[in-house]
Amino acid sequence: MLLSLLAADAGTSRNRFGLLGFFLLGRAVAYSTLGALAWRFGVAIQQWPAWHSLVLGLGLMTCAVLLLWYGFGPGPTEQKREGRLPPCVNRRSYRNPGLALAGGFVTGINPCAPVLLAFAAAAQSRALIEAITFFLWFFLGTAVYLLPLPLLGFLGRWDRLRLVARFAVGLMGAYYLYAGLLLVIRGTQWPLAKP
Amino acid sequence: MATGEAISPASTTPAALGWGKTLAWAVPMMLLTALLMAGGPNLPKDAHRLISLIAAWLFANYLFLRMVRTGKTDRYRASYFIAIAFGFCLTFVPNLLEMRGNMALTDEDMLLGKTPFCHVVIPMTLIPAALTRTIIFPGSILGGFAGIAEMFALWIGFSLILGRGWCSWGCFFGGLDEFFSRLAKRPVIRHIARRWTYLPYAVLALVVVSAAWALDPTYCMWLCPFKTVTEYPQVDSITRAVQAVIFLSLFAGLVIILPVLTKRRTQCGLFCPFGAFQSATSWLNAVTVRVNHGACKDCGKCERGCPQFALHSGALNRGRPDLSCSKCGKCVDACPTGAIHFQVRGSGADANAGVARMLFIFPSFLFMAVFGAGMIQGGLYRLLLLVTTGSLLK
Repeated sequence: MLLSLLAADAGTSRNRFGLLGFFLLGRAVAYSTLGALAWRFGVAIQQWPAWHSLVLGLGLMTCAVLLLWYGFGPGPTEQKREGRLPPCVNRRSYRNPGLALAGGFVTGINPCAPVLLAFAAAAQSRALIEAITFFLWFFLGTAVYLLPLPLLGFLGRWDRLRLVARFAVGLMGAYYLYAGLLLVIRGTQWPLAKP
Repeated sequence: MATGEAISPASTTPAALGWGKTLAWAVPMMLLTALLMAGGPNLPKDAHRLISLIAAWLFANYLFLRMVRTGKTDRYRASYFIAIAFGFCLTFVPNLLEMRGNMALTDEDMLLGKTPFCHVVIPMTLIPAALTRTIIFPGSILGGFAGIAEMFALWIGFSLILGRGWCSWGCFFGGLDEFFSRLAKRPVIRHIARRWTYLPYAVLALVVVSAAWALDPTYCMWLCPFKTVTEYPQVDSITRAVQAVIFLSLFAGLVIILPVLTKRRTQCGLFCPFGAFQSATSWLNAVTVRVNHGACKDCGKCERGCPQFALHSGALNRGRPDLSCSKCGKCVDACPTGAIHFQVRGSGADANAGVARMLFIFPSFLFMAVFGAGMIQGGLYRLLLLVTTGSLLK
């Protein structure tokens, strides 16, 4: 979703692919870091599934709150009209390669379910290089799905489409909030929680 | 009223017809509805069913006669439309109780394909059907109660005639929020920001993508407010309990409370993904709603009355309502100068609006009358059972 946002505001196709490059670079760094961490901590993380759920649930809920704010809160157009657009959400700032790099890193290091699964698998590696290589392959496999996104950036030209997309993001936020809440409940071992 | 009687001043509109022309339209409607509602020459032998059939036929034809005679569309359409929704609930729920013993849908029922299919699922089934050649809905394709093929055929036919008009002339859920939107005399909430009218498109995008991703009808599982008055998955886990709470909350909020407060159809205009999807089919229809901006006095009656949020100053300047217009006719009836009218696509602004109106309401009402007849008859039948036996169930 972040990449779609960057692509919609990037201007030309060349800019979009450039930002995608920085985004993927950030993601590759994040995955390499995860590979190293997985090797360092070994299988230790698997011993506390409740902690797992709690961290993942809280992460999802934080993400959900941000998505809800982005989706249903006053959008950049309304804020600009009311003269209270913070500098960090100025449209031009989306084109910043540093932001794309950081975005790629943060979303890459996010403990989502497939990453945690990969983390658990990499934690069984015998050597550091083996764990990092495993994560770099994981990066290549997932990056394929991101490549077509810059081509969709032109859709951002239509204000109504942007509005619909923002609402869709907000609705996804509501779903993440629910999913995060369930994970937190599971993490705190609420007796009614079922797997 | 006798033939040739003068039309009262209150009901006089440019579209009102004299008795001769009224009967010329009404008699074919009577014959066609008699033929199609009865489904053949053999009338029901059960007295309750026969009485329900005759009552439904009389009700439909009385409304159509008044619609043609007075030139007013919305109030007569709404009466039948609301009756369909209540008839549907009164038929559907007792049917489930007789078949299953309760309204809850078990996993076994889903595996056996016993879930009735409704039109709202259609947009969610298209991508998975194209990609995987499977229908991602636990219902029966042919036969059974509300089969998938049957609903698709009806939807295609109705879309060709009415497009988004389905939401005011065909949808058997829409009458519920229409009913609640008519309860209050004046709206408590008068202004709703226009940006919210784009929410249904977001819901549509989300449920279509998530259904294609999960191969599951996600709207039915998570967001359908009408589960409250039809069927719902059996509550046997936290997830199912959350789903039930969502269904109840959406029904209370979007179908009852907001329609009462705003006097608008908030479920249909601000949430329903099928309505958003159906908007795309409005391009196929021969008759549409148009605004003659030159004749408009900017009185705002149409804008305030539009239940689907399709009219605003921009739309009036443009000369046509937004895509969300469901051709209910409320604005046409409300306009004091006749600036808003039904128009045959391709005909000029000077074309006869009365003829265009009749070309629209005749097939639309016929479709609504016949499609909804089973539900109204079913509802009346259940009420008769209640009166005579003390129970809604056989």
